[in-house]
Amino acid sequence: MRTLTRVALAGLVLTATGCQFFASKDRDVVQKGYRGTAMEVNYVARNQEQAMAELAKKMPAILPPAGESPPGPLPWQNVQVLNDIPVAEFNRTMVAMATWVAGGAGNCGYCHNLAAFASDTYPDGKAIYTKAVARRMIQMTRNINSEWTEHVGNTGVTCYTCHMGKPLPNGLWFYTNENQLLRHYLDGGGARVVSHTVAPSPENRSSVKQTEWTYALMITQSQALGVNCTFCHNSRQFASWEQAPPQRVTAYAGIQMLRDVNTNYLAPLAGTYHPSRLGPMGDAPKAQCVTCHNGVYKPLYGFQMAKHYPAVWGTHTDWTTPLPPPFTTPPAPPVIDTTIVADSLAAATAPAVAPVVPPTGR
Amino acid sequence: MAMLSFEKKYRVRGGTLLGGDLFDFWFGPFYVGFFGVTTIFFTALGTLLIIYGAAIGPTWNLWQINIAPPDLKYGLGLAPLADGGLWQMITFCAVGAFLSWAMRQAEISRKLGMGMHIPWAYGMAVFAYVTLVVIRPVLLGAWGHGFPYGIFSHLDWVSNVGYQYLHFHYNPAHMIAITFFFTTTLALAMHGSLILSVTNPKKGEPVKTSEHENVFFRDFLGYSIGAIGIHRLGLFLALNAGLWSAICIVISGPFWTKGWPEWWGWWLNLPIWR
Amino acid sequence: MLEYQNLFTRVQVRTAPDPGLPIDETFGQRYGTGVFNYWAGKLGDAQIGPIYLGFWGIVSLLFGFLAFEIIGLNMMKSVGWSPVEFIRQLPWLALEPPSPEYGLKILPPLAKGGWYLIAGFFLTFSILCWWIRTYTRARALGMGTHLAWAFGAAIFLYLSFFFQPLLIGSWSEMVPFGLLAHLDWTSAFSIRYGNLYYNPFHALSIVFLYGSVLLFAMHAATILAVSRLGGEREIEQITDRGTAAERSALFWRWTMGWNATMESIHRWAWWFASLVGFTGGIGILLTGTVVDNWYLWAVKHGVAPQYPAQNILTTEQLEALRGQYAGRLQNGYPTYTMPAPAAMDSTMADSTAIVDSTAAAAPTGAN
Repeated sequence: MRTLTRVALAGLVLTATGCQFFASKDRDVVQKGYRGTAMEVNYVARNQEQAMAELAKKMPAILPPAGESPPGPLPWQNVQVLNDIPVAEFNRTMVAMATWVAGGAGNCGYCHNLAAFASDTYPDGKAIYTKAVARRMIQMTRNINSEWTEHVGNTGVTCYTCHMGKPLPNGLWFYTNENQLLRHYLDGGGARVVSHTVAPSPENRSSVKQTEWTYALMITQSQALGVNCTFCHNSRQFASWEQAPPQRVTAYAGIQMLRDVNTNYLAPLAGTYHPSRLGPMGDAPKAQCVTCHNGVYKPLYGFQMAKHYPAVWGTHTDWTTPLPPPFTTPPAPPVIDTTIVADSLAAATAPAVAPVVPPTGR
Repeated sequence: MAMLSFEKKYRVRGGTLLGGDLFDFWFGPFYVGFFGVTTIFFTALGTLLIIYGAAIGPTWNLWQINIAPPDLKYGLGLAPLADGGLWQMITFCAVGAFLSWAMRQAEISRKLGMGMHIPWAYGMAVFAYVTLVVIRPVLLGAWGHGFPYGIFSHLDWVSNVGYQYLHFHYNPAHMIAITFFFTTTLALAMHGSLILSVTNPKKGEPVKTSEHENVFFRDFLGYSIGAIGIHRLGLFLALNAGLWSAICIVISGPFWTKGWPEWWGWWLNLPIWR
Repeated sequence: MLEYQNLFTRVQVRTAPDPGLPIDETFGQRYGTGVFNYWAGKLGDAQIGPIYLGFWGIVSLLFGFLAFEIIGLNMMKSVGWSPVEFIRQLPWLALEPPSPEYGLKILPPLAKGGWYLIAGFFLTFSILCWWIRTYTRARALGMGTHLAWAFGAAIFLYLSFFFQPLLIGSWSEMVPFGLLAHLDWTSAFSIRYGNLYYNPFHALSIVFLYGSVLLFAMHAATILAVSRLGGEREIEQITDRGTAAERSALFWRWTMGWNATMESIHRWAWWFASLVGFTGGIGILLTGTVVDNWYLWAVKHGVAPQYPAQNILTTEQLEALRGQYAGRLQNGYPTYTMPAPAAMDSTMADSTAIVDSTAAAAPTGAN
């Protein structure tokens, strides 16, 4: 009997230690608000380090800087969107894009007629839709890096941020004939359901069902970033900006960025794609949070890949100094530890990082 | 003073666990005992500390008074008094007072020749409290994971802890705990009503018997668990409510860091479905 | 060290099952003669049955069964009548109330909430019939009707979930039938109405709920602790106080300076348990009808605690945000006209109606 008890106890302790016992050493929980309010973000630091190491293994190395470009006019024709960078940088970008999107440095044929690189058609005369899409994607990337610093900061994005070496990024979504919460990222209504008055008023007639809808949308965001509700909200009053952590501003900018991206870049490509790429209702694939974040609160754990590729910069050129915050910040009240473990790790070990959670798009 | 008509013959010496005859006396209706002294000590100290905490805090509004645990950065160490140290001392006093109270119950049970059911049952409530403010914080590595002492502030803590795991209602142990809470209340209502309806029958009728108790529930539900059975069941349900509450919170954080809805993936992915 | 604490029955006696006191069986009768179950006898009484099923009992079971079937078959239909998927997805399956667009329409299309309303009606009818049993069965034995009124408090809470949507003006506000679905509803209800923890009646209800558990633990433990002295024979102890009652009383008197009696503890029990439903129901009825945001209610009445500002938005951020928050979300971008999908479900209108200001101005709960 006594032996049995001991074995059971040992088993219990073993199980316990197997799951993050005394996890404080790994700083698994990060305080994000006043003490005792349980404004916290939970991590399993060990898993995170592992994920970073895996990403570091599979992430393509930064290509060596481009050398001197030969003087003179461009030696090729029909360059529509990358015509503002030197020739050498252009070549370097092309090589990088093949790795980022088409699965390998040599895979030029994914977007090009190998017999005539400048051509927009295959030898048989059919349009190369991937090339047309890629042009628009480059414009989109530049737009994100220059216009949406509120969201992407000085981390920026490259094709790899979303594509991760594959032609199709994670979490692409299409219309269905159901009530679709992801439409919030395109043409759906807002997500606000909580009243700003004590008494009921005609201004807010949101139903509990709509609240469930918003809740579900927010859960897709949480899972896309691998964070919890208290990362952006004080749940005592979800609607309150006054009590929200600053991350909510970044996330809010992200939603608007997604709407910009989906509205002006992705959805209008419906006529460009090959029909096999379209959804059941004939619409183009669209993005959501997980498409870039891949389960990580900062895509690629905040690794600044874009800094090394001027082709994706757009008008944003200074990648060294930290961007000023979107709003001028006065001397803040004492703030404890708003960073999360990935911050320090990313800074110390970059390039090294990876998505933890598999895409949970739809 | 303050003795019931039949009380005198029960007030006898002995049965103490500690302190022998030293504290074996009554104060008004209260039995004192060694653990009565420790109870008073911890309770008085803890209460004074709470009042002190309120005094150095921003408000005397009863609903808003908040004694918060330390920042996480203090880990399992001691924090400055005004920075969560008070919370630590109050928690220590509370645990001391609760355990003293349980021991006191044990002594009184012995004195009255009763079983040990009450101190053990009370122990379950203390266990649930200790789980919240000691066991889970220790597992997570910081006293800051305890809940704050305040009427509404502790609800804010509950809310945020719940949403740390996206949707706490999906926590299986939480489901079980709530089920036990509601079932206990249902059973209590049924038992209380039954005893009252038998001893307060229809006007003009004599008080009914335990046979009526059984027959009523057999007529009504097909089963009557019986006079001793309902108390066993009630104790079982009530203790499980406390036990599963403790389990549901201690697994949140130390053993599961993601959203609780995600936890259910194992069920959907069982190989038997293929 | 370990001694028997009377937590289970050690010796079970078997005789002929008790047929029950004679009652008037004009309108219904007892079924079965009673059987013994060893494991039931371990915990309490070993005899199971007979059961009385009068008119109301049969009607109640029938309608309860119908409601159960409607809910189950609808769930079954939602997984394409696959038994395996039914079991696999059962926790997630639900029979949902009508969409907001139907308002208080008496019978929306069956597949769009009609079945829900029918099932809800049957279930309610079943519960009310069952209530009649609590009353008539007690009266048939000449007992008081305390159980009926305690059950009434629970029914009041149950009906609050019907009257609150009625007051708001939309069936869509009702609780879905489903294991996880009703939990989703619960969380959404709290979020929608600004955190139910700040609803004082919700707080009271929880106090009584926890209080009930505490009371039952105290009472049951006390009775078991004096069961050696026959403490579980409460009727006898109430009418003719014995040493079990005296010791139980003295235990609490010596512990906390005060005691209930063998009878009054059951009054405490009755009130605590009943008030769970009663206060809870009031809390539901006030939500969305009188108070739309309980947190703001608490702020208004000075009961919501304030915390030192730490890691929250700055005043400047808030100011700058205020401008964005007002209009940018909806008006800041060129609108993209969505190609009309071939078959769009009418529920599509719901999602877009969320911030549609015209829908918002509708006098009744159009959405």
